Amino acid sequence: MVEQTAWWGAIVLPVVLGLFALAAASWDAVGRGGATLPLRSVAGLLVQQRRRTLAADTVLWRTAGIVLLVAAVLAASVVPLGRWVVGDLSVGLVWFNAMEIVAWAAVWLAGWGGNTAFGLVGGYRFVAQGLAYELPHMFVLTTAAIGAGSLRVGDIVAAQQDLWFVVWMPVAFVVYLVSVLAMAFLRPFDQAVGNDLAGGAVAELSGVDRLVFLAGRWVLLVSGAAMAVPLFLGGGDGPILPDWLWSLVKTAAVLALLVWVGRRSPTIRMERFTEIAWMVLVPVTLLQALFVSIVVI
Amino acid sequence: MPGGVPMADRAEDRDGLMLDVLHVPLGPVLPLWPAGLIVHTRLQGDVIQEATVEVVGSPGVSFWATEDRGLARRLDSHSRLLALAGWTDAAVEAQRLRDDALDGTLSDARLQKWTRRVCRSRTLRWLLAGVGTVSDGPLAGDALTRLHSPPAKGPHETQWILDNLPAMLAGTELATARLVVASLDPDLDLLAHHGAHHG
Repeated sequence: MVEQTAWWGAIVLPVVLGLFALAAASWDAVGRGGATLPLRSVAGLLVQQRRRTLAADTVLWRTAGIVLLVAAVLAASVVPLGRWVVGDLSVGLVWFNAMEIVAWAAVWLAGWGGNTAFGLVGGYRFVAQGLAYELPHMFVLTTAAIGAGSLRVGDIVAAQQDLWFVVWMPVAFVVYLVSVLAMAFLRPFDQAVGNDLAGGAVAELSGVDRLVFLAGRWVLLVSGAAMAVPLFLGGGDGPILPDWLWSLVKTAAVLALLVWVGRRSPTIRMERFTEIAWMVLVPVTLLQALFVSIVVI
Repeated sequence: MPGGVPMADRAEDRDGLMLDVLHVPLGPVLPLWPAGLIVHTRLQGDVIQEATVEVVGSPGVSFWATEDRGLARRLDSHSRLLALAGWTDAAVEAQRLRDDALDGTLSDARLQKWTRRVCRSRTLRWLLAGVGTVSDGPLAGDALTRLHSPPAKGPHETQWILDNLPAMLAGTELATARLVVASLDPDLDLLAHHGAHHG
């Protein structure tokens, strides 16, 4: 059902991701600076000179943005668009999960590299956030994999031909969306780059480095939103329209929902969220996985 | 000494672990921070172990104390608290309402809509409850109650804030500390004329 694209798929993928990322960032800026703010920021950052900080670890610092962007694109490489996928891996789900963990390192490096207290605190905040959201997130991915009996994303889509996973795994779907916001450190989980730290992990990033890092963050959000479609929303399944268009429409809908929800909430501090993550989300996602396992057997 | 900066000291933290100690000043120039205030902190991780308060510059004439700018002053203060709490949309709207209030073009309907939105937010309640608790006096309550019913702040209250900040900030982590300061929001121009204040 899902087939690997030729080499040009690897070129189309970043372009599509970039367009989605730009659209999401623009939608996020409506009412605060206007929808053209992201484009204007790109132009500004392209010509901005790099700021320096004392005794910065320049190599790691500049690598951070590139690592984040590359990891975000690679995470999306196993997400099928209709019936095409760039990388049809037998362990696609694990690959996706691994790439988003690489993002942890990237954010931490961005915070560490600048050699400033606020940046470092921001970097460590993201590690704490990872500890809070990652376990529920992994149980959710596991739940979808159990439902299909496969780690291949194409098989997970195929298993939903009769019934979308969102219908009988609603808890997993909701927790997945929450963890996508957390992994892309977007509001309300933006403490790592929070106002109270004057930008936290990205406080001292400037010019092209900042552009690459922020682009990576939006692409990571898009990758996470796009993955929700094959995992829970039946992939390209839908009436009338071609399957690739259904994939795009569903991704856009998930993305719009995530940005809209994020704007309606203040930043959730990890000191308060960790308790919910471990006392509520972990048991709830485990019960969901148990339920799915019993149904499958 | 990398870059001429001494390495961080190490000391026991509140759990008895040996951790790096950083001396980080908050202010006098920091986004969403009361102008002229410096809090010298001793940080371990992102927890403030010890704080001392200093005021730079001598008090001028407070922009807010004149005429009937009380409402605009409160909106200004709220916008900073909301921005620090990470609710940019509500903070931006508070700033717009503040500007309208200063121009005398404030629409009551918009103000009420914003107030309802802020007061209704369960997440905000959950995040601000118990932050910066003061047991008695005119500033009694926590960040949430002071947001819902802002206390009047004169020179006496401002001085009280400066005297009590070090004790309130000790043991908090940076995010909470910023919320505490924004919630009390001292207007240093209201201070009686004298130099530095040490807590």
